[in-house]
Amino acid sequence: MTTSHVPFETLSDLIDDELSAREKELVLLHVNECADCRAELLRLRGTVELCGDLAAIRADFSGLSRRVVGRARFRRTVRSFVRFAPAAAAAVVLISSYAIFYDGSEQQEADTAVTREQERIENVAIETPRPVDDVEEVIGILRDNNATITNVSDLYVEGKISVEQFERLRRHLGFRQVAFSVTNEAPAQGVNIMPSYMEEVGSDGGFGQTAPIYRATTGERYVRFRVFR
Amino acid sequence: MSDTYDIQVVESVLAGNTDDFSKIVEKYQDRVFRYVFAKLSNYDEAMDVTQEIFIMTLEALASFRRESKFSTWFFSIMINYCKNYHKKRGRFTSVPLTFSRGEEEYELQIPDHRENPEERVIMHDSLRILREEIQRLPEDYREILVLRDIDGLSYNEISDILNINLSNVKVRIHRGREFLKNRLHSRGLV
Ligand SMILES: [Zn+2]
Repeated sequence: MTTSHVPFETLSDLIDDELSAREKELVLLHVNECADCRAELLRLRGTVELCGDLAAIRADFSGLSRRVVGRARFRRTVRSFVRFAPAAAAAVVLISSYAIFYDGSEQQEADTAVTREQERIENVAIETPRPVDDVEEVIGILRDNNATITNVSDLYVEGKISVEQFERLRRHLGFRQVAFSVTNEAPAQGVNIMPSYMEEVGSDGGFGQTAPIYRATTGERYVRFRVFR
Repeated sequence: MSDTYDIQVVESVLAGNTDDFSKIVEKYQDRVFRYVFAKLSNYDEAMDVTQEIFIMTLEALASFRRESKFSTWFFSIMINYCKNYHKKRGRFTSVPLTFSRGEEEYELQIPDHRENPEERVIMHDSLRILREEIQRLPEDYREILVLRDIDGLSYNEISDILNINLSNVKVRIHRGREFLKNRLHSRGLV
Protein backbone atom coordinates (compact mmCIF):
# COMPACT_ATOMS: atom_id res chain seq x y z
CA MET A 1 0.00 0.00 0.00
CA THR A 2 2.87 2.37 0.64
CA THR A 3 4.48 1.63 -2.69
CA SER A 4 1.54 2.33 -5.01
CA HIS A 5 -1.08 5.08 -4.85
CA VAL A 6 -4.36 4.50 -3.08
CA PRO A 7 -7.14 3.56 -5.51
CA PHE A 8 -9.99 6.02 -5.67
CA GLU A 9 -12.57 3.54 -4.40
CA THR A 10 -10.48 2.95 -1.32
CA LEU A 11 -10.44 6.69 -0.62
CA SER A 12 -14.19 6.69 -1.13
CA ASP A 13 -14.53 3.80 1.32
CA LEU A 14 -12.36 5.71 3.74
CA ILE A 15 -14.74 8.66 3.60
CA ASP A 16 -17.66 6.35 4.30
CA ASP A 17 -15.76 4.59 7.05
CA GLU A 18 -16.12 1.30 5.25
CA LEU A 19 -12.52 0.14 5.74
CA SER A 20 -11.30 -2.25 8.37
CA ALA A 21 -9.07 -0.80 11.07
CA ARG A 22 -6.02 -2.36 9.44
CA GLU A 23 -6.86 -1.07 5.94
CA LYS A 24 -7.58 2.36 7.31
CA GLU A 25 -4.23 2.54 9.03
CA LEU A 26 -2.37 1.59 5.87
CA VAL A 27 -4.25 4.10 3.78
CA LEU A 28 -3.70 6.92 6.22
CA LEU A 29 -0.01 6.08 6.42
CA HIS A 30 0.30 6.37 2.67
CA VAL A 31 -1.81 9.50 2.41
CA ASN A 32 0.30 11.12 5.07
CA GLU A 33 3.42 10.63 2.98
CA CYS A 34 2.05 11.02 -0.52
CA ALA A 35 1.08 14.49 -1.67
CA ASP A 36 -0.82 13.16 -4.70
CA CYS A 37 -3.08 10.91 -2.68
CA ARG A 38 -3.53 13.60 -0.07
CA ALA A 39 -4.69 16.06 -2.72
CA GLU A 40 -7.01 13.47 -4.19
CA LEU A 41 -8.50 12.73 -0.78
CA LEU A 42 -9.06 16.43 -0.16
CA ARG A 43 -10.81 16.84 -3.51
CA LEU A 44 -13.02 13.89 -2.77
CA ARG A 45 -13.81 15.15 0.70
CA GLY A 46 -14.56 18.59 -0.73
CA THR A 47 -16.98 17.01 -3.20
CA VAL A 48 -18.83 15.05 -0.55
CA GLU A 49 -18.92 18.04 1.80
CA LEU A 50 -20.33 20.24 -0.93
CA CYS A 51 -23.10 17.70 -1.43
CA GLY A 52 -23.70 17.97 2.30
CA ASP A 53 -24.07 21.73 1.92
CA LEU A 54 -26.66 21.20 -0.75
CA ALA A 55 -28.48 18.82 1.58
CA ALA A 56 -28.49 21.50 4.26
CA ILE A 57 -30.78 23.73 2.23
CA ARG A 58 -34.04 24.38 4.02
CA ALA A 59 -37.17 24.70 1.97
CA ASP A 60 -40.44 26.27 3.04
CA PHE A 61 -42.77 23.38 3.74
CA SER A 62 -45.52 25.38 5.37
CA GLY A 63 -48.88 24.06 4.30
CA LEU A 64 -47.40 21.11 2.40
CA SER A 65 -48.98 18.36 4.48
CA ARG A 66 -52.33 20.16 4.42
CA ARG A 67 -52.18 20.46 0.64
CA VAL A 68 -51.20 16.82 0.23
CA VAL A 69 -54.06 15.51 2.34
CA GLY A 70 -56.50 17.97 0.78
CA ARG A 71 -55.62 17.15 -2.81
CA ALA A 72 -55.66 13.42 -2.17
CA ARG A 73 -59.12 13.69 -0.58
CA PHE A 74 -60.37 15.75 -3.48
CA ARG A 75 -59.14 13.29 -6.07
CA ARG A 76 -60.58 10.37 -4.17
CA THR A 77 -63.96 12.08 -4.06
CA VAL A 78 -63.82 12.71 -7.76
CA ARG A 79 -62.92 9.13 -8.51
CA SER A 80 -65.73 7.80 -6.40
CA PHE A 81 -68.17 9.86 -8.49
CA VAL A 82 -66.71 8.43 -11.64
CA ARG A 83 -67.35 4.93 -10.37
CA PHE A 84 -70.95 5.71 -9.48
CA ALA A 85 -72.08 7.57 -12.50
CA PRO A 86 -72.99 7.01 -16.10
CA ALA A 87 -70.53 9.17 -17.98
CA ALA A 88 -73.04 10.43 -20.51
CA ALA A 89 -74.94 12.48 -17.98
CA ALA A 90 -71.85 14.40 -16.99
CA ALA A 91 -71.70 16.92 -19.78
CA VAL A 92 -75.32 17.91 -19.48
CA VAL A 93 -75.16 18.57 -15.78
CA LEU A 94 -71.97 20.51 -16.15
CA ILE A 95 -73.15 22.76 -18.92
CA SER A 96 -76.49 23.58 -17.40
CA SER A 97 -75.29 24.23 -13.89
CA TYR A 98 -71.73 25.26 -14.00
CA ALA A 99 -70.96 27.25 -17.07
CA ILE A 100 -69.47 30.44 -15.76
CA PHE A 101 -69.57 33.74 -17.55
CA TYR A 102 -68.57 37.04 -16.18
CA ASP A 103 -67.48 40.46 -17.25
CA GLY A 104 -63.76 40.64 -16.72
CA SER A 105 -63.39 44.37 -17.15
CA GLU A 106 -63.17 45.01 -13.44
CA GLN A 107 -60.47 42.61 -12.54
CA GLN A 108 -60.81 42.52 -8.81
CA GLU A 109 -64.54 42.04 -8.84
CA ALA A 110 -64.22 39.39 -11.44
CA ASP A 111 -61.59 37.57 -9.49
CA THR A 112 -63.73 37.61 -6.39
CA ALA A 113 -66.70 36.36 -8.33
CA VAL A 114 -64.70 33.64 -9.91
CA THR A 115 -63.19 32.65 -6.61
CA ARG A 116 -66.72 32.27 -5.31
CA GLU A 117 -67.64 30.23 -8.33
CA GLN A 118 -64.62 28.07 -7.89
CA GLU A 119 -65.43 27.55 -4.25
CA ARG A 120 -68.93 26.65 -5.24
CA ILE A 121 -67.67 24.18 -7.76
CA GLU A 122 -65.38 22.66 -5.21
CA ASN A 123 -68.13 22.40 -2.63
CA VAL A 124 -70.55 20.92 -5.06
CA ALA A 125 -67.94 18.49 -6.22
CA ILE A 126 -67.27 17.30 -2.73
CA GLU A 127 -70.79 17.25 -1.38
CA THR A 128 -72.95 16.19 -4.27
CA PRO A 129 -72.49 12.83 -5.85
CA ARG A 130 -72.81 13.50 -9.54
CA PRO A 131 -71.17 12.24 -12.64
CA VAL A 132 -67.90 13.76 -13.65
CA ASP A 133 -65.10 13.13 -15.98
CA ASP A 134 -61.67 14.66 -15.91
CA VAL A 135 -63.16 18.14 -15.66
CA GLU A 136 -63.16 18.13 -11.87
CA GLU A 137 -59.49 17.41 -11.84
CA VAL A 138 -58.89 20.15 -14.41
CA ILE A 139 -60.85 22.65 -12.36
CA GLY A 140 -58.85 21.65 -9.31
CA ILE A 141 -55.63 22.27 -11.18
CA LEU A 142 -56.86 25.62 -12.49
CA ARG A 143 -57.90 26.66 -9.02
CA ASP A 144 -54.56 25.66 -7.52
CA ASN A 145 -52.82 27.76 -10.13
CA ASN A 146 -54.98 30.85 -9.62
CA ALA A 147 -56.35 30.59 -13.11
CA THR A 148 -59.67 32.24 -13.81
CA ILE A 149 -62.27 29.93 -15.25
CA THR A 150 -64.40 31.61 -17.87
CA ASN A 151 -66.39 28.77 -19.33
CA VAL A 152 -67.02 25.10 -18.88
CA SER A 153 -68.56 23.27 -21.78
CA ASP A 154 -68.90 19.69 -22.81
CA LEU A 155 -65.82 20.07 -24.95
CA TYR A 156 -63.45 22.11 -22.87
CA VAL A 157 -62.75 24.20 -19.81
CA GLU A 158 -61.86 27.74 -20.76
CA GLY A 159 -60.02 30.28 -18.71
CA LYS A 160 -57.32 32.84 -18.45
CA ILE A 161 -54.19 33.28 -16.44
CA SER A 162 -51.31 35.71 -16.27
CA VAL A 163 -48.52 35.02 -18.70
CA GLU A 164 -46.15 34.53 -15.81
CA GLN A 165 -48.22 31.72 -14.35
CA PHE A 166 -49.08 29.95 -17.55
CA GLU A 167 -45.97 27.83 -17.74
CA ARG A 168 -46.58 26.29 -14.38
CA LEU A 169 -50.23 25.68 -15.17
CA ARG A 170 -49.26 24.01 -18.43
CA ARG A 171 -47.00 21.68 -16.55
CA HIS A 172 -49.71 20.80 -14.08
CA LEU A 173 -52.14 20.00 -16.86
CA GLY A 174 -49.88 17.19 -18.00
CA PHE A 175 -51.00 15.34 -21.10
CA ARG A 176 -54.24 17.20 -21.58
CA GLN A 177 -54.71 19.02 -24.84
CA VAL A 178 -54.50 22.76 -24.43
CA ALA A 179 -55.10 25.58 -26.88
CA PHE A 180 -54.09 29.08 -25.94
CA SER A 181 -53.59 32.65 -27.08
CA VAL A 182 -52.06 35.71 -25.50
CA THR A 183 -54.25 38.74 -25.12
CA ASN A 184 -54.73 42.01 -23.36
CA GLU A 185 -58.51 41.95 -23.40
CA ALA A 186 -60.63 40.55 -20.68
CA PRO A 187 -62.95 37.91 -22.05
CA ALA A 188 -66.32 39.42 -22.86
CA GLN A 189 -69.52 37.78 -21.79
CA GLY A 190 -70.36 34.71 -23.71
CA VAL A 191 -67.94 35.47 -26.51
CA ASN A 192 -66.10 32.51 -27.82
CA ILE A 193 -62.38 32.75 -27.69
CA MET A 194 -60.64 31.62 -30.78
CA PRO A 195 -57.36 30.12 -29.72
CA SER A 196 -54.44 31.23 -31.84
CA TYR A 197 -52.24 28.34 -30.95
CA MET A 198 -53.03 24.72 -30.75
CA GLU A 199 -50.80 22.28 -29.07
CA GLU A 200 -50.73 18.75 -30.22
CA VAL A 201 -49.94 16.87 -27.10
CA GLY A 202 -50.69 13.34 -26.17
CA SER A 203 -49.86 9.91 -27.41
CA ASP A 204 -47.27 10.72 -30.01
CA GLY A 205 -45.54 13.93 -29.11
CA GLY A 206 -45.51 13.61 -25.34
CA PHE A 207 -46.04 16.28 -22.76
CA GLY A 208 -45.54 19.73 -24.16
CA GLN A 209 -43.40 18.54 -26.99
CA THR A 210 -44.65 21.02 -29.51
CA ALA A 211 -45.49 24.11 -27.51
CA PRO A 212 -45.36 26.72 -30.23
CA ILE A 213 -43.18 29.77 -30.08
CA TYR A 214 -45.20 32.88 -30.49
CA ARG A 215 -44.64 36.58 -30.31
CA ALA A 216 -47.38 38.72 -28.92
CA THR A 217 -47.90 42.36 -29.65
CA THR A 218 -47.61 45.12 -27.10
CA GLY A 219 -49.44 45.31 -23.84
CA GLU A 220 -50.45 41.72 -23.57
CA ARG A 221 -51.31 40.44 -20.18
CA TYR A 222 -53.16 37.20 -20.24
CA VAL A 223 -53.03 33.80 -21.68
CA ARG A 224 -56.45 32.57 -22.65
CA PHE A 225 -56.66 28.86 -22.88
CA ARG A 226 -58.92 25.92 -23.39
CA VAL A 227 -58.27 22.61 -21.78
CA PHE A 228 -60.00 19.97 -23.87
CA ARG A 229 -61.87 17.18 -22.23
CA MET B 1 -35.60 6.01 10.64
CA SER B 2 -38.08 4.27 12.86
CA ASP B 3 -40.10 1.82 10.86
CA THR B 4 -42.38 1.09 13.82
CA TYR B 5 -43.47 4.69 13.92
CA ASP B 6 -44.08 4.72 10.17
CA ILE B 7 -46.15 1.57 10.32
CA GLN B 8 -48.25 2.95 13.16
CA VAL B 9 -48.98 6.07 11.15
CA VAL B 10 -49.76 4.05 8.03
CA GLU B 11 -52.19 1.84 9.96
CA SER B 12 -53.90 4.90 11.32
CA VAL B 13 -54.21 6.52 7.90
CA LEU B 14 -55.60 3.32 6.41
CA ALA B 15 -58.07 3.11 9.28
CA GLY B 16 -59.50 6.40 8.07
CA ASN B 17 -57.47 9.05 9.89
CA THR B 18 -56.24 10.60 6.68
CA ASP B 19 -54.93 13.68 8.46
CA ASP B 20 -52.34 11.51 10.15
CA PHE B 21 -50.58 11.29 6.82
CA SER B 22 -49.20 14.73 7.59
CA LYS B 23 -46.85 12.95 10.02
CA ILE B 24 -45.35 11.06 7.13
CA VAL B 25 -45.10 14.26 5.11
CA GLU B 26 -43.37 16.07 7.91
CA LYS B 27 -40.97 13.25 8.56
CA TYR B 28 -39.87 12.79 4.95
CA GLN B 29 -40.39 16.18 3.31
CA ASP B 30 -36.75 17.21 3.74
CA ARG B 31 -35.41 14.08 2.13
CA VAL B 32 -37.86 14.14 -0.73
CA PHE B 33 -37.27 17.79 -1.47
CA ARG B 34 -33.50 17.42 -1.33
CA TYR B 35 -33.66 14.52 -3.73
CA VAL B 36 -36.00 16.26 -6.15
CA PHE B 37 -34.27 19.61 -5.90
CA ALA B 38 -30.92 18.06 -6.74
CA LYS B 39 -32.40 16.60 -9.90
CA LEU B 40 -34.72 19.33 -11.14
CA SER B 41 -33.95 22.79 -12.30
CA ASN B 42 -35.88 24.98 -9.94
CA TYR B 43 -37.40 25.42 -6.54
CA ASP B 44 -41.07 25.75 -7.44
CA GLU B 45 -40.98 22.73 -9.66
CA ALA B 46 -39.19 20.72 -7.00
CA MET B 47 -41.83 21.73 -4.46
CA ASP B 48 -44.65 20.73 -6.83
CA VAL B 49 -43.05 17.38 -7.48
CA THR B 50 -42.47 16.86 -3.77
CA GLN B 51 -46.15 17.47 -3.15
CA GLU B 52 -47.15 15.13 -5.96
CA ILE B 53 -44.95 12.34 -4.61
CA PHE B 54 -46.68 12.53 -1.25
CA ILE B 55 -50.13 12.57 -2.83
CA MET B 56 -49.27 9.52 -4.89
CA THR B 57 -47.94 7.76 -1.82
CA LEU B 58 -51.09 8.48 0.12
CA GLU B 59 -53.19 7.23 -2.76
CA ALA B 60 -51.13 4.08 -3.08
CA LEU B 61 -50.89 3.45 0.64
CA ALA B 62 -53.33 0.55 0.67
CA SER B 63 -51.03 -1.29 -1.68
CA PHE B 64 -48.11 -1.16 0.75
CA ARG B 65 -47.61 -4.85 1.58
CA ARG B 66 -45.24 -4.48 4.51
CA GLU B 67 -42.76 -6.76 2.78
CA SER B 68 -40.18 -4.04 3.21
CA LYS B 69 -39.72 -1.10 5.49
CA PHE B 70 -42.11 1.73 4.77
CA SER B 71 -39.20 4.04 3.96
CA THR B 72 -37.88 1.62 1.33
CA TRP B 73 -41.26 1.41 -0.33
CA PHE B 74 -41.73 5.15 -0.13
CA PHE B 75 -38.33 6.00 -1.61
CA SER B 76 -39.00 3.61 -4.48
CA ILE B 77 -42.15 5.56 -5.27
CA MET B 78 -40.17 8.79 -5.12
CA ILE B 79 -37.49 7.51 -7.47
CA ASN B 80 -39.94 6.08 -9.97
CA TYR B 81 -42.02 9.21 -9.98
CA CYS B 82 -38.96 11.30 -10.80
CA LYS B 83 -37.89 8.94 -13.56
CA ASN B 84 -41.29 9.13 -15.22
CA TYR B 85 -41.46 12.83 -14.64
CA HIS B 86 -38.25 13.34 -16.57
CA LYS B 87 -39.50 11.18 -19.38
CA LYS B 88 -42.85 12.94 -19.60
CA ARG B 89 -41.44 16.39 -19.35
CA GLY B 90 -39.44 15.93 -22.51
CA ARG B 91 -37.99 19.17 -23.74
CA PHE B 92 -40.79 21.31 -22.44
CA THR B 93 -38.52 23.39 -20.28
CA SER B 94 -36.17 24.18 -23.09
CA VAL B 95 -38.77 25.71 -25.39
CA PRO B 96 -38.32 29.45 -25.15
CA LEU B 97 -41.50 31.50 -25.42
CA THR B 98 -40.21 35.00 -25.75
CA PHE B 99 -42.49 37.92 -26.46
CA SER B 100 -42.61 41.57 -25.62
CA ARG B 101 -45.01 43.50 -23.51
CA GLY B 102 -44.56 47.20 -24.08
CA GLU B 103 -40.85 47.69 -23.90
CA GLU B 104 -40.22 44.66 -21.78
CA GLU B 105 -39.25 41.26 -23.02
CA TYR B 106 -41.05 38.38 -21.48
CA GLU B 107 -40.21 34.78 -21.44
CA LEU B 108 -42.74 32.07 -20.87
CA GLN B 109 -40.29 29.57 -19.59
CA ILE B 110 -39.63 27.78 -16.37
CA PRO B 111 -37.48 30.33 -14.66
CA ASP B 112 -33.94 29.23 -14.26
CA HIS B 113 -32.71 29.62 -10.71
CA ARG B 114 -29.84 31.74 -11.93
CA GLU B 115 -32.16 34.42 -13.21
CA ASN B 116 -35.14 34.15 -10.94
CA PRO B 117 -35.20 36.96 -8.38
CA GLU B 118 -37.97 35.20 -6.51
CA GLU B 119 -35.86 32.18 -5.84
CA ARG B 120 -36.59 31.35 -2.27
CA VAL B 121 -33.40 29.51 -1.74
CA ILE B 122 -30.28 31.53 -1.47
CA MET B 123 -27.97 29.67 -3.73
CA HIS B 124 -24.29 30.23 -3.47
CA ASP B 125 -22.30 29.94 -6.65
CA SER B 126 -20.62 26.78 -5.52
CA LEU B 127 -23.95 25.06 -4.87
CA ARG B 128 -25.30 26.27 -8.18
CA ILE B 129 -22.34 24.74 -9.97
CA LEU B 130 -22.70 21.58 -7.94
CA ARG B 131 -26.31 21.24 -9.02
CA GLU B 132 -25.40 21.80 -12.63
CA GLU B 133 -22.77 19.11 -12.43
CA ILE B 134 -25.05 16.68 -10.63
CA GLN B 135 -27.58 17.11 -13.39
CA ARG B 136 -24.90 16.33 -15.94
CA LEU B 137 -23.94 13.05 -14.32
CA PRO B 138 -24.88 9.85 -16.12
CA GLU B 139 -28.24 8.76 -14.71
CA ASP B 140 -26.88 5.62 -13.02
CA TYR B 141 -24.42 7.64 -11.01
CA ARG B 142 -26.62 10.63 -10.37
CA GLU B 143 -29.38 8.59 -8.84
CA ILE B 144 -27.17 6.83 -6.39
CA LEU B 145 -25.01 9.82 -5.56
CA VAL B 146 -28.00 11.93 -4.65
CA LEU B 147 -29.36 9.16 -2.45
CA ARG B 148 -26.01 8.69 -0.75
CA ASP B 149 -24.36 12.10 -0.48
CA ILE B 150 -27.39 14.38 -0.47
CA ASP B 151 -30.09 12.28 1.12
CA GLY B 152 -27.58 10.51 3.35
CA LEU B 153 -29.01 7.02 2.91
CA SER B 154 -26.87 4.02 3.87
CA TYR B 155 -25.46 1.52 1.37
CA ASN B 156 -28.00 -1.00 2.64
CA GLU B 157 -30.97 1.30 2.24
CA ILE B 158 -29.89 2.19 -1.28
CA SER B 159 -29.42 -1.47 -2.11
CA ASP B 160 -33.00 -2.18 -0.97
CA ILE B 161 -34.55 0.80 -2.70
CA LEU B 162 -32.85 0.35 -6.04
CA ASN B 163 -32.91 -3.42 -5.76
CA ILE B 164 -29.26 -3.82 -6.69
CA ASN B 165 -26.66 -5.68 -4.68
CA LEU B 166 -24.39 -4.04 -2.20
CA SER B 167 -21.16 -4.33 -4.14
CA ASN B 168 -22.89 -2.76 -7.12
CA VAL B 169 -24.06 0.09 -4.93
CA LYS B 170 -20.51 0.68 -3.78
CA VAL B 171 -19.05 0.58 -7.25
CA ARG B 172 -21.58 3.10 -8.52
CA ILE B 173 -21.06 5.41 -5.59
CA HIS B 174 -17.30 5.33 -6.10
CA ARG B 175 -17.56 5.98 -9.82
CA GLY B 176 -20.17 8.66 -9.36
CA ARG B 177 -18.02 10.46 -6.84
CA GLU B 178 -14.99 10.21 -9.06
CA PHE B 179 -16.94 11.58 -11.97
CA LEU B 180 -18.35 14.44 -9.91
CA LYS B 181 -15.03 15.19 -8.25
CA ASN B 182 -13.32 15.52 -11.63
CA ARG B 183 -16.05 17.82 -12.89
CA LEU B 184 -15.94 20.01 -9.80
CA HIS B 185 -12.16 20.06 -9.92
CA SER B 186 -12.22 21.23 -13.51
CA ARG B 187 -14.47 24.07 -12.43
CA GLY B 188 -12.15 25.03 -9.64
CA LEU B 189 -14.41 24.04 -6.80
CA VAL B 190 -12.39 21.27 -5.19
ZN1 LIG C 1 -0.08 8.09 -3.31
